[in-house]
Amino acid sequence: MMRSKPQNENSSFRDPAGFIFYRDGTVYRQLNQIYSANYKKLISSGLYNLLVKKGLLISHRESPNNLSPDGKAFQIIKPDMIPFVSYPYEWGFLQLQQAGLTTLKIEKLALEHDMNLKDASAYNIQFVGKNPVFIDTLSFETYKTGSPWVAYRQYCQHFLAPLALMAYNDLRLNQLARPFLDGVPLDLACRILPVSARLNLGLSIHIYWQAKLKADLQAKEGSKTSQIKMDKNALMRLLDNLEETTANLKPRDSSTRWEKYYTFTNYRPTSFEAKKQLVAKMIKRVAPKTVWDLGANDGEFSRLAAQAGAYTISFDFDPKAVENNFAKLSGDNTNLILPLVMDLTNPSPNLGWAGQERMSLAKRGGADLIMALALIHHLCLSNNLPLGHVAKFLAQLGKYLIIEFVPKNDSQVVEMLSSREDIFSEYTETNFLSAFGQYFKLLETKLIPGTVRKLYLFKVDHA
Amino acid sequence: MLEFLVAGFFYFFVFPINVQAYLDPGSGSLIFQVLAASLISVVYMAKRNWSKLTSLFRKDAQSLSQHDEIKTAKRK
Repeated sequence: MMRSKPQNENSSFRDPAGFIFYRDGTVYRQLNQIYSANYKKLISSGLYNLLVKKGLLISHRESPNNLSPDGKAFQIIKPDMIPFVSYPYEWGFLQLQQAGLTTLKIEKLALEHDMNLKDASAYNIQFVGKNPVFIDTLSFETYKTGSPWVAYRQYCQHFLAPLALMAYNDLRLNQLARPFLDGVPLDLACRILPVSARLNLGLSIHIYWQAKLKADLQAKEGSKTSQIKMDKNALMRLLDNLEETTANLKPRDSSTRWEKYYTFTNYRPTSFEAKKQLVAKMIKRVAPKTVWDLGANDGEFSRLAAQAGAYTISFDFDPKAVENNFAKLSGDNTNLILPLVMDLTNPSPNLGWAGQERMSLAKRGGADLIMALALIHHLCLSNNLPLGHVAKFLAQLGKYLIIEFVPKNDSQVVEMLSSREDIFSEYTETNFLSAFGQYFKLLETKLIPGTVRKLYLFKVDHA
Repeated sequence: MLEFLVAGFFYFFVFPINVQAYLDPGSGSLIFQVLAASLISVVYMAKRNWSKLTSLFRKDAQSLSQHDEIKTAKRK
């Protein structure tokens, strides 16, 4: 059988221990000779089995070495697939906190097996539904007696600093991960954090004093890094303190407009229930494997998709709504929902080296079904987006679309337009249908009882 | 108060170390975490001893109140 040409993953080039590549639509990881001793120890020490059993590390199967793109593999492994790749600037506070705590838990278990994590990048964690999983099998190295944790600063930049900023200042500061791909610089965090954060012993040490003494210690450390020794118990206490500091951070309660969106809807509970039933029927008709719920708020409708067995990404631009959505997942039986922060009017772009390290939202696209419920009036009327632009954008994201059209005589739209000049003469149901008709085939229309709103089921029509 | 203690610790231990003449790309985080871990250990020990000390008083207070209860019970 002819094998297709392998393609290297654009974000996997920094670590000499190996790299990720794709072949025939499957993800593989090549382990180079330089990593052989560490890999053998990871397996033989029982650490790999323990971490996989606890659901902390991605599991893999060993594959034949002749799959290697450069013929230099010590071992090829085939890790489990991650259903959707997400990034720290798309996570809410709780997600980043759990990702950080998972990293520390793994480092502590590794130390118990005389191994160590050589990095603590937030990009080494991926969420499968609500569960954070460490995906970099090449991050483990043999612990050298007395050595400090080389990833300590990285942990502070990728996890502790952004969490502190979100807790003490504002949840929206998760967005700092976008420009600062190697974590928030600690001196910047110090400038933004209120003085009260310094009363927290952990934050005072790990962020404030580390930033303040950086220049002095950099000079002192010089080339003597191998001479710097630290007792293993002391390292464990440092990790305990990082864990305690991370776990004890809590965002200040700041209620947002969207958080109470469903409490203040302009329609009756019976209409809301009827809408849920209509949407559930449409989902059933499409029978999707993957769903993107855009403007999902706290994920009420994402749950309908998950109940139908679809892996559902629940996007909202409000971090508080994403927070509530994620918090509710702990009580759910299924693990098919991933809530993410996403501003659709400015979605995640390609980022990093050569603009290829972190993928844009569109590049990760291709859901079977897109849901855009109670969204279009916000895009068109609050963000001045023409209907045609919205239709074109949504057609790029998936194969089917369930969309709710909220007309101008809807009381919420009336309220939205009460404080501004109505320049939206184009915003009519007729224009909506003709704009979407350019990209989609209409399959079904349903009026939501007790409202003036309608649900439409479309199929992308590329002809 | 805590802030002053933490500051005092770092000024006492960090600044007397001799400075090398050149900068290394190393972030200084290795030396820093050795110091941080020492400080955390000191705080941890202090907290443990403090709670031991206070629990000693708590025990006394507890036994006293138990004693009082027995006395009251006897009176009844």
